[in-house]
Amino acid sequence: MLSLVQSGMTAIRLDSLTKRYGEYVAIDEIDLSVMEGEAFGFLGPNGAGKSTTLDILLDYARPSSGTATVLGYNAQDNPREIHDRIGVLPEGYDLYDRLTGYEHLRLPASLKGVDIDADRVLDRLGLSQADADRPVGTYSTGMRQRLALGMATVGDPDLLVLDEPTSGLDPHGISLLKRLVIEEVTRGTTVFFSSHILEHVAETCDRVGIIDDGRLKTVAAVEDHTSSLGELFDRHTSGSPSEPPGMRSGSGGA
Amino acid sequence: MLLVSVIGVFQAVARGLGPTSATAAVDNLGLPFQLLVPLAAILVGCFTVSGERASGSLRVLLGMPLSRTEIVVGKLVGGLAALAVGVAAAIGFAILVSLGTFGTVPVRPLVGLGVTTVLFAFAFGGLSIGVSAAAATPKRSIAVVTGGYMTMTFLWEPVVVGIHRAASQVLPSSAVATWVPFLERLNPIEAYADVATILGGASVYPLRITFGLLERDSGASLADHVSGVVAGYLVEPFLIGVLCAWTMVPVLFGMVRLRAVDIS
Repeated sequence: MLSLVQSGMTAIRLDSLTKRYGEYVAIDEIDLSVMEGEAFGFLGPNGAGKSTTLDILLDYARPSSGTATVLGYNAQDNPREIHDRIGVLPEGYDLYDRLTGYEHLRLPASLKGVDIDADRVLDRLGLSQADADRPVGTYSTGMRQRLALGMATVGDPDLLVLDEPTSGLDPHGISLLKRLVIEEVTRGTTVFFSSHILEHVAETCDRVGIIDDGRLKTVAAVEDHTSSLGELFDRHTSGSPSEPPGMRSGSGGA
Repeated sequence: MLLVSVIGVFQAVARGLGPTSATAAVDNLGLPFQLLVPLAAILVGCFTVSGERASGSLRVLLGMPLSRTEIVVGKLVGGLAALAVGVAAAIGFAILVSLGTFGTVPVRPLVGLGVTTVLFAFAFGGLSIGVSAAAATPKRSIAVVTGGYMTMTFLWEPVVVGIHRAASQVLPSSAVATWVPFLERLNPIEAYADVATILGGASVYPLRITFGLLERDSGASLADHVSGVVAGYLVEPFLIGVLCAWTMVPVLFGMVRLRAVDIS
């Protein structure tokens, strides 16, 4: 298991972060600090507010009140400075069916002004060069997810923000993802990883934050006692993990 | 479709439906262009930003170092370039068909029509892309832009008359206020026909429905009409400006809207 690397610098800092959709409160006064070099798991049932929080970090959405700071920059005021240095696997994304895997990998590389070793990226994700030559329209869900992960790692980002990265992955894909996260953290990358599945977070993360009903219930270090983390998760969450996501439309809550 | 219509127009003119000359054929080309170019612009433009927003690929683009404004500018440059290539291909094809049918090429009318049609395509391209940036889904963008095109085609005259009625409490008579023809020419279809006529020396008619609510004073020149509001020497820049405004104003509106919304 990974040791907690705390250089004292904050990679992500949320101060009283709140997002309301009309009457509905998606996230409520969240305070959180994630240290540089840390692998942080953001854990909660579907509809708890994980994606809303990540959307604000990535400036897809704007907070109703409070602030989000990423790598020292305000998420809403300096999105370009942030996005130059981070890699993102968003939730609810789509790729371009007519472009090939290689073309997808070249996109972030050219926008970030870096050269990529595409074959190394492919190798890490278990994609072959023949796969990368094909249009993404022919890919399976898991292959798309692995390619999107690969796009996030292009340019050796300082921070990886992964929203439900295990969704759509088969057991082999999940083990590739875990290895990738561990490699990135070893390299010094901060990883912020959301999931509704405890095991996926527990095996790769140094600390977890448990969120439910839009509130951050607790933050705990992950040591080798996954079982007590399970109790923690059960104690702090009311919804069942199989609930359909409903909060993003603003119509319901967990 | 543009190419097929080019052949159709030249064939119809060559067979003596109306005046038989290559220039007359160019005049008539303006009509299918006014139908097909807006349709092409809607197909190209309405899916751009709202299509990516609805599918989720906008979230991938925004995850990289790209601003929302840059995305709209990129879509605009790409969309307008595609439309310009389409129009250029149609004009190039018209040159070949003209050579084959009449043995001559009416260069000035064709170039004038081509340049104006590109501006016209940009007007509807800008409108479609701007609305696409402001709307959450391609369906909504198509509804808004198609509605706008229908208004320009069918309802512009009643709207202008209504504005006149509201402003002066009377329906416009033959002695209409000077700003009525000005309002009419804010319609890109009207501006297109006028600019194509001025630049090409042919006579291109606006493809829109009028109900005879406004008297058409055939004796007055275009300059007479517009000079009530715009000085005579500014008529051409004014009309070209109308087409450019239809390109840029919706795009700026779309950029401002897109910057304000949550991309979920």
